[in-house]
Amino acid sequence: MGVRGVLRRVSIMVWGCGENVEQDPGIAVSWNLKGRYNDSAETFYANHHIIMPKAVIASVPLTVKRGIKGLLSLILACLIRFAVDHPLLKAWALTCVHRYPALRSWLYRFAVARGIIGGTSVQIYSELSSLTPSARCIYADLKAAIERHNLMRVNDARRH
Amino acid sequence: MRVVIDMQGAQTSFSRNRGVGRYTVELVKAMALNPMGHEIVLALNGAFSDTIEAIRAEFDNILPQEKIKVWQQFFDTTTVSSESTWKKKAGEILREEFLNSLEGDIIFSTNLQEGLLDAACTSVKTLPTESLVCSTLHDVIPLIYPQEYLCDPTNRSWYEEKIDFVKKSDIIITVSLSSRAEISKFLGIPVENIHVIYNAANRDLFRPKSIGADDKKRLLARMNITCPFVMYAGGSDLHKNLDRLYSAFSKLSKNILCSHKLLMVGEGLKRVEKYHRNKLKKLGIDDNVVFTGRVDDEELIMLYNLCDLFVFPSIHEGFGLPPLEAMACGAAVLASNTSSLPEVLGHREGHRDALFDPYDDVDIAKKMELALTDRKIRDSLKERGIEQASKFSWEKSAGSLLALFEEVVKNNCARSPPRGRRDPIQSIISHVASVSSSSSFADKDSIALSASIAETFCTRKDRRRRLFLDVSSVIKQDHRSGIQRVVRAICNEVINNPQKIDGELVYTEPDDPEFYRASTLIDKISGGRREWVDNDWIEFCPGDILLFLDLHPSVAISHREKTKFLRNKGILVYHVVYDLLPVSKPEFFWPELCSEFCEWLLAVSSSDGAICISRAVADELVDWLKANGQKRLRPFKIGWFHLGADVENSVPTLGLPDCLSPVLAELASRPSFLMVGTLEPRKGHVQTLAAFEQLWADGLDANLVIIGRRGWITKRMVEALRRHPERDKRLFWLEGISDECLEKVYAASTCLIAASEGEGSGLPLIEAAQHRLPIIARAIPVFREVAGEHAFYFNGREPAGLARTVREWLALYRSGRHPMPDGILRLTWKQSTEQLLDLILREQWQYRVDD
Repeated sequence: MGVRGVLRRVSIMVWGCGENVEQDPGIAVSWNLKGRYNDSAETFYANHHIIMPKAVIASVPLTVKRGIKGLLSLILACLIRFAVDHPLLKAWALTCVHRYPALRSWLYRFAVARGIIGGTSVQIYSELSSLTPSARCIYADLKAAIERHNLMRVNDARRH
Repeated sequence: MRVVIDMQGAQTSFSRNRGVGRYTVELVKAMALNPMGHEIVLALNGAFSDTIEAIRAEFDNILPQEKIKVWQQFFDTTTVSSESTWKKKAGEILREEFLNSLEGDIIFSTNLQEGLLDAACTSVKTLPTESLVCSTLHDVIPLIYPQEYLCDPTNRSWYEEKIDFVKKSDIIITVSLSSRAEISKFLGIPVENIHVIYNAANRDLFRPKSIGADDKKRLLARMNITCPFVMYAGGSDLHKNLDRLYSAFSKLSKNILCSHKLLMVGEGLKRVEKYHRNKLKKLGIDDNVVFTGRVDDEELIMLYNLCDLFVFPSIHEGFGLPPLEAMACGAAVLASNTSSLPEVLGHREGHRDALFDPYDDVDIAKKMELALTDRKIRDSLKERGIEQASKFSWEKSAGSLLALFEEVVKNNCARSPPRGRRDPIQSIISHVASVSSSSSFADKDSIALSASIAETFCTRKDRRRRLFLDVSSVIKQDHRSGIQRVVRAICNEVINNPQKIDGELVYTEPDDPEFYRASTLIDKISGGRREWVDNDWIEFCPGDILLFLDLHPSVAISHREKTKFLRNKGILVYHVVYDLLPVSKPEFFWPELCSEFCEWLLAVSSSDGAICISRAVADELVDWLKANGQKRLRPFKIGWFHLGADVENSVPTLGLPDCLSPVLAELASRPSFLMVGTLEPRKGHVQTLAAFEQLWADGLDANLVIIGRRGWITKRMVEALRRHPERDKRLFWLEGISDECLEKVYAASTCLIAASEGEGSGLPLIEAAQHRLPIIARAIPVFREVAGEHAFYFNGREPAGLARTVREWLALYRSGRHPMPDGILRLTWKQSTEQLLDLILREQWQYRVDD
């Protein structure tokens, strides 16, 4: 069984039967999850083929699940950062992932989103206190406009 | 016609070091150099703050800096970022509204395919616009090879969205006939609606050059090459067909393989070198191939000039810039006979020897072998390459593009509705509100968007250009030092005589990036006559000037990032430099001050320029920058002005001490020598006092009057003054007196002694001249600059030398032959401020330092 077979096995083990896993035509090693299964948090216990009982997973508090997810993300981020800092390891990792475009793309997105590689270091404003008086006026107008718009939307929905 | 050009193609990390980045900069530069009577305005995305200075530098002296506009985007719109959907939409609205506000007849995007992996925003007609939109689509390679580029759903939807934007453009341009045919085929756009504007190679850079033996040796040693080489430059994508290049190279005869290397040039290639090495090992040519990684333009041109053969086996190109650049440099070039490459290499002119079938490695090898072994063929390839490359030029492309714009605008004129100005801020708010939904909207998003809008559009009620004078030190405490007198005097002139520009006094704190209006000082200076319409928080608009007039090193050091932001936005930032003594004469200062001063000078050198208070200081600053300054992309401007001397117009401090009358009486009773300046080691107080002790011991009856606060490293000097037997008899020390009191002492004295070993301007000399007070001065450059032949000079640090000078001067004085200070140029503060403003506003700089 080649890499392709292993990946397919793993995907079926993790995400259940084939009906929720679509193989991209023409691409040997890329599978996309369909429909709502495209959301990783729900996918895990959404299918009866999963080995772990749904009830057990459901009983795990959301905060614990988020914690595990966060921890795994942190570990992966550390691994990528380590690889980026070591040219030989980086070259080897790139050689490996070069063969799997979807995996490469996902890892790239992951690394860019966490500021490990590439991208732009955009200056982010998130504190109201850092706004100039004019920006505060704009902020107030913006909030009011959004609220007005949401209200209109709710009213429209009620009417329909 | 006004053409607004979105320059993000030269800004993003994805494009700026690739062909798109070169296309953007070179084409727009050529348009700006010959605008055919039209106005060119560049629009930059402030999110790429590190690229703005480089672009401003590229267009320095080509386009006025005020034609480079920046919109700010303080939120991440990267497509791959999971939270970016709403922000991306908001970013598009902000960008489009900003571009609309520039009121161009044409909005030209050099590349819409941006924003997948970084914070670029591109869109077309998300908002209604009165401008015609022109977009360049370089190729449709992702549509031709979807499995390579579009297998990822995020990539696919991003690309499809961008293609939709291209379709919505009024003018679509591409870079080759081949690309035009493919765009037409894949997007269903009629060929006649797609215009070809060719790429080119910059003829000033890419041309045959004779490379010096040393340069050649150094370059090749760095690349680890010891023999002739065949070269490839470009990316590592699958369609670049590198596997067949390796295979073809391995099929070359043994003689060639033994004598030639294959040089693979490109940043992307280096990243996947290991992967390629495995293939090369299998082919047995691992030792024959060198991966250089990224090379700069200078090295690239040298490599093109030095290679025996340039091979470009790509199966698909939108244009194919590397072979054109190689041909322009006189390299023998072989390339594929597919897509745009025959067009670039000139297949119509029978340039068949230069083309091969990229799917057939045997054919590639055959053509390579022939070119490498047959000198005639190689020379013919070189000759025809240069001729063919000369047919492409950025000037020609820019001219064609502007002509196209002219024609389309002319045809569009009849149906174009009259322009109606609307409020861009309200427009953004209403459009963003309409696309927002409560689920995807977070408060921090609206804060970031509000900050972006406020920094993009000037929200000030009065939008006239303003000069902001930083007075962060004097507003806290007026130490009554020389610098603070200069600050008060210039502020007074700028505030009360605003003929040339509206002035504002501002202050900040080292730990606060914002600037605030120095209302209390303004009220004091203007007598409360000034009325304010804006609030106290300073909002800078493009075109404004910020002048750090006060010396507050920690503020300038901590505001380096703010300075960078302001300069990116189009605000000019200057510093006044009073002297460089802590670096030129560190022995007179404590080490911490010297290192802080060095940091301050580096902060100064990261601004637009410096205004020195004398030519001597300007010369010193130039020397310091040449030795210690950071590498700059635009020249650092340096000028000098001279200080005023009319104390009455420097907002003088007032008050007379009770002890003044007896002192003035003593001064009138015998010749009185005056020293003005803070007590510091460099001021020469110790030498002067010792000289007078000798003079007194020799029976000379004269007064020594020292005016100045206690400074640093002066404990022993202060003790000596306090306990001196001549204290208050013939030695007077007046500490911290007002300007009013100083005037009276000047009037009562016989001669000024300027014994300082280092000064910025020598203000006491000018003030002495104002009172017709003769001068004995140390022969340092700044005193010579100020007083010229109108002072009596001395050298050396020995008290005896100075005592001799005083005696000589007294002899001249008694015979009426001493130099009089009447000829010293005495400016009023009004004239001095005019000099300063002329430098800043008319750009009358004396020096421009590149590095």
